[in-house]
Amino acid sequence: MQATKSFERAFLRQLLRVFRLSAVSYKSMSLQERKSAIKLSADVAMASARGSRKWTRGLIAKLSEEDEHRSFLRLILGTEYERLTKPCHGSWKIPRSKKIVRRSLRVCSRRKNNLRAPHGFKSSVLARTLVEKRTHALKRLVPGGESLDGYSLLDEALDYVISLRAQADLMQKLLTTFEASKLSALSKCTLPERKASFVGK
Amino acid sequence: MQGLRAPPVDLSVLERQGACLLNWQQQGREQSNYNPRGGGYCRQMQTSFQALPSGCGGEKNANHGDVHGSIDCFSNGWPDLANIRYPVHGAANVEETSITNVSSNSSRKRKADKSPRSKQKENGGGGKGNSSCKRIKEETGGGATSETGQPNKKEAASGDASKKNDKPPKTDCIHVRARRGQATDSHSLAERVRRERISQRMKYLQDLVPGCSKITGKAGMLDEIINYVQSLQRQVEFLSMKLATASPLMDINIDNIFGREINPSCKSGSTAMIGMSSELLDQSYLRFDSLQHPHPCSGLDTFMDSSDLVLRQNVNPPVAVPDASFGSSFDVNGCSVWSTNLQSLYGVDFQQGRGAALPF
Repeated sequence: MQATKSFERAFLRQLLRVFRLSAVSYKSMSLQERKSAIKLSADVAMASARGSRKWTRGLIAKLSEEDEHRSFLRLILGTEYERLTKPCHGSWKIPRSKKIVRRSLRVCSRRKNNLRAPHGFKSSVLARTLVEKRTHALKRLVPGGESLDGYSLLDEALDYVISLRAQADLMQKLLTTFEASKLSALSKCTLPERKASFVGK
Repeated sequence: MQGLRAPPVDLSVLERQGACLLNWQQQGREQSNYNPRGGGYCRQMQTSFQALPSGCGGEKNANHGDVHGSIDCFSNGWPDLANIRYPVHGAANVEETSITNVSSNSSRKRKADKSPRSKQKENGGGGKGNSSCKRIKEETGGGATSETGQPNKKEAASGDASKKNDKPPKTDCIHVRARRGQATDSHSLAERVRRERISQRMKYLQDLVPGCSKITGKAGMLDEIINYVQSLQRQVEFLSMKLATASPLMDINIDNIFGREINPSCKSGSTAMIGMSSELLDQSYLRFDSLQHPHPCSGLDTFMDSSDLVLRQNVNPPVAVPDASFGSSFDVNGCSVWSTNLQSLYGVDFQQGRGAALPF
């Protein structure tokens, strides 16, 4: 399965737009800040290029948790920002205390285990817990996945994987482009200039 | 959604939406590659469904029988499932799958199994009948096409060891037959449908994640998926770090590279950035090759050559080449921990990906 060309195109367009917008501040940033800014830009570009899906909303929500990012996101996304951050219909999360939920889950699972495997350990129980553990891990990985269920979680994970792969590919291509252009630019310089630029790095 | 509209004569709201679906799909034809099941459609459909008093679950949906039909199987509280479409092969069997009452009625009469729970007013004769069949009506696809949805459903329905005639399901509903010796109540049938859909999704993910063809269990597959997602995320972080180091003067580079028309022979239609960037990359590689610039990083040469080949999207697969060179280049850059990951990722990736990219 491959990401579509239109997605890649939209992604690249958004990414370049973001870079151009934020390029001014790049000079004053440290390496770490630049790296996180680039990562943020890539994520925003990916989410906006993909459109409205559960994981894109989750991603944007996660990114806009910090105030400075929120204004940046609003700038990039424009009107879409409001639309994307509106809570999705099916995913109203009732604020629950984690402790209570965990306790109730434990009680429920214990009750289930007692009912179904009173005499010892059945492999089905083991299999089920394994799958549950992994499902929880996947929920944590996929943005916005906490409120998803089984099938939709797999669906979103599928989409997310495709987009992530496209993102990695794109950034790789960008990287090679930059390096190639830098090298070719260097080759055009005279020797003293080349030395100076190397020293400067 | 402008454009095509299915004839509104016999259509319910669902069918009209299905026609809109068809539009959308035809407009974004490529999107079907993304998600042939149309999972993304449920967003659209959800908004309209919210307008209905959707009890959304295992209830009998008596309030809106003529719209939802008997969506009474999804007792697990998955609103998304109820909204996911099973579009029908429109082009192939349009003559069979017309949305008129007559044909659907006749198709239903051909089957001896009428669920007592069917509430399709538009389909009229969904009378009492064999309770061993349960009709799950979700949407009338309105001629929308799906590459994989319908065949899978046909398999599901006709693959059952049922004593009834096993014609493939027509038009608009998913016929689920109870297998021999299995419970026939709604919950277990719903469970079975749910499991089949999950296994179908698992199959897609198996194609996606490299190296998963041998793993059969759900837990193992989930494990692989988790590892893959984590490695992709780490890769993105790493690449962003590299980008940060590689171009501190990023703005200049961007304007220089992407701001001008480098290649005059570039197709006028491909004003798309990707097209430009590949041309630009080719050009820069050509320049680079002709330069014999003594670059300290020898791995980078092979990397560029191979990515040059990859980017030109050759039909003949020199895609085996990227395997070693990707690994070597990253080793040179001091991140040997990535070499094996990336080899596996890019090696299989490109074999799969480039092969699939050709039809574009």
